Amino acid sequence: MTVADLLPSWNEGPAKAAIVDFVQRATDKASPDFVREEDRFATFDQDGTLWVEHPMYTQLVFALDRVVALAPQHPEWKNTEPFKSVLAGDKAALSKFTMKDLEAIVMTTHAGVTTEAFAEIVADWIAKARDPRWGRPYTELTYQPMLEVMNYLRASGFRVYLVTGGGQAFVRAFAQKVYGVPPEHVIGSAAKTEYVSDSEGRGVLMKQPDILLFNDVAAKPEDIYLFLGRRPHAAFGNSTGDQAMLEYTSGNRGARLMMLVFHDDAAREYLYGPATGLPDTPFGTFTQALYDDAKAKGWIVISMKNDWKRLFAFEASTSGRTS
Amino acid sequence: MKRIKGLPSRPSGRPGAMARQEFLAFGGALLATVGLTGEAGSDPLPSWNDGAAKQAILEFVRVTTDSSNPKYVAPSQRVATFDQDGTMWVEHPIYTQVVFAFDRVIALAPQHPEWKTTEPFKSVLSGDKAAMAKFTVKDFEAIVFATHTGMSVNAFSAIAADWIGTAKQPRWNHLYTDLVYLPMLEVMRYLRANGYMTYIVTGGGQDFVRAYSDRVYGIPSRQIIGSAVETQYTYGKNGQTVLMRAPKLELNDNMSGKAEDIYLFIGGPPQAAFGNSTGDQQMLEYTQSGGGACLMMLVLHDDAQREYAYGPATGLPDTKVGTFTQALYDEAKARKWSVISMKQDWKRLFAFGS
Repeated sequence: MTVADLLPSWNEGPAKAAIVDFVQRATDKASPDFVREEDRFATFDQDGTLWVEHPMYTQLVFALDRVVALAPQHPEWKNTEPFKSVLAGDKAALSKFTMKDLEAIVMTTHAGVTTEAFAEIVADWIAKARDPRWGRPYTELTYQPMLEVMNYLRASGFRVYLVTGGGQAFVRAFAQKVYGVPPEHVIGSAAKTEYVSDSEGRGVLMKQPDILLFNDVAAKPEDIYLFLGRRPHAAFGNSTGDQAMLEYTSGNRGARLMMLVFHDDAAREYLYGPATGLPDTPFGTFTQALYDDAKAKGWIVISMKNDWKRLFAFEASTSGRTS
Repeated sequence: MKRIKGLPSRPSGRPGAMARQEFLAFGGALLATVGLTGEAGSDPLPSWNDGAAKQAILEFVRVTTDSSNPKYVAPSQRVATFDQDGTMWVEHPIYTQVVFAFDRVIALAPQHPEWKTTEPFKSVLSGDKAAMAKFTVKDFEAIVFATHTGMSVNAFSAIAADWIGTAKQPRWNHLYTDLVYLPMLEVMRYLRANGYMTYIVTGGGQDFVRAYSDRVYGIPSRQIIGSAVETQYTYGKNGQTVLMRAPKLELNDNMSGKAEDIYLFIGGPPQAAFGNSTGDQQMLEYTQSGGGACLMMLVLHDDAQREYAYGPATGLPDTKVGTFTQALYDEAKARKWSVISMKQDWKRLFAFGS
């Protein structure tokens, strides 16, 4: 199989060339950058790197839906913020939620259930929920070019991990089906769990309203080490939350590949930075400083507009080039 | 979520796990190499005496790998977890990692003149065994933080690898890694040859075990779950990125922590779990909660002659190191877990000698 077959949704250009060159250097025994198969790890951020994260993170949509679903059991929410605004559908108030508000919502809706029950709730929701812009399941809004990179790396002997600021338990509910990534390859933010015996004497784990891992920024390399015990050779992200992960990867020996997805495609997806003068955003912030850092260090910035022939599997294969 | 009685058990709580072809291919290759299948007369567990324990292992593998068996387990769900101290290697008279920590106190003492007059370091430096025998959890914590933190993760790995490569256990005068139980290594290999992913789940330090796990157990770093200190991502003198070990416990991988950390790393209960003490009780319970075919085994140290005898289960001497209570023994019997008698079930203990 030729490389063209493995990355069909990529336009020819420096980004695609960098991926192909990296795989060749890593897998060619004669290459000075050769990487032994047991050391081939690649880590992928999820939100904004593997699937759409605007207008807000999918897991936040899930949490807000859970507030509505759980409201009958919490009559007090009608008069308590931030739940009150969610239930009233007050978008102006929602857009002003602080991190503390969002944390309260996530903690409340993600705790007090067994890990098994939570996995079923997520699987059920993700199968039914639809993104309003495309009218499709969120899992269809995964970027086809990135799925191709994952497959290409796996075919080249790499173990592919997700390293997400989102919830590990949330992502595990669909990671195998959507990304081909098994549960033990999903690193993410995680609540503490508490082991208890249920009424039948079965040992179950209850999700607690306390954070065990907040897998973002510097915690990404820390958690990668906790899970893998080593540095990856390739890392893919799209925001300041991924900078440390890419830096950590760049400190490895042998072939390395650091890539950042840049959302510069308003027509086919969204446009945000604020790097290069694009609109600023709280979801997936790509600062000018990160952009400058990437250029200075030779990390590859993937232009959604120029590098991706198509974004989603359901789309026809059309070039995003404006020329 | 409660399981409704009478319905078939969910194979496991690991959400969405499916085929793991790379792993199957690897298992197949290993199978061919070591010739563990098919041929009459080839015994995958030659260091085991015939008996209920050996039969339980063989039966578990037979039913979970036969696709026509109702207890068949899909390859992606084949996970087995092993405690280390007392299950995979000798833990008496004290845990190997504690010996390491004491040796590190001695090695680091010149940089810490204050230790000569500060407990618990003073007792370690003066070799006061009576005082050391009375160390509290807090004393051990102070020693572990003083010897296991403040350096980069790479520096610690090098220190641990260096020590384990040379330190010898006094009774046998062999490297500690020679005191790994050959029967258990055979179980690990046998399970891997049949498509199982093997994990270590230890109350000991994750990074300590990682320093030799690949070489000694054939288990890579990513399949070592253990107690862990927090690390801090920072920059070295030349601007290089580095993870520094901080004196704060992140995971206490013992008792309930074993079940919790197995979920954190793997996503659900394993199909098989091996332990030897009350610290493993929840891991075995959690394994059984996954339903379907599962194997729970506990090593009982009832062999004073070839190793050590301790319980206090079945009237054996009590111990603080690897306690196997009568309550755990009774639970094992009630839940149909297998208790491995070191004396009866193991033909030989170690790869050296014969």
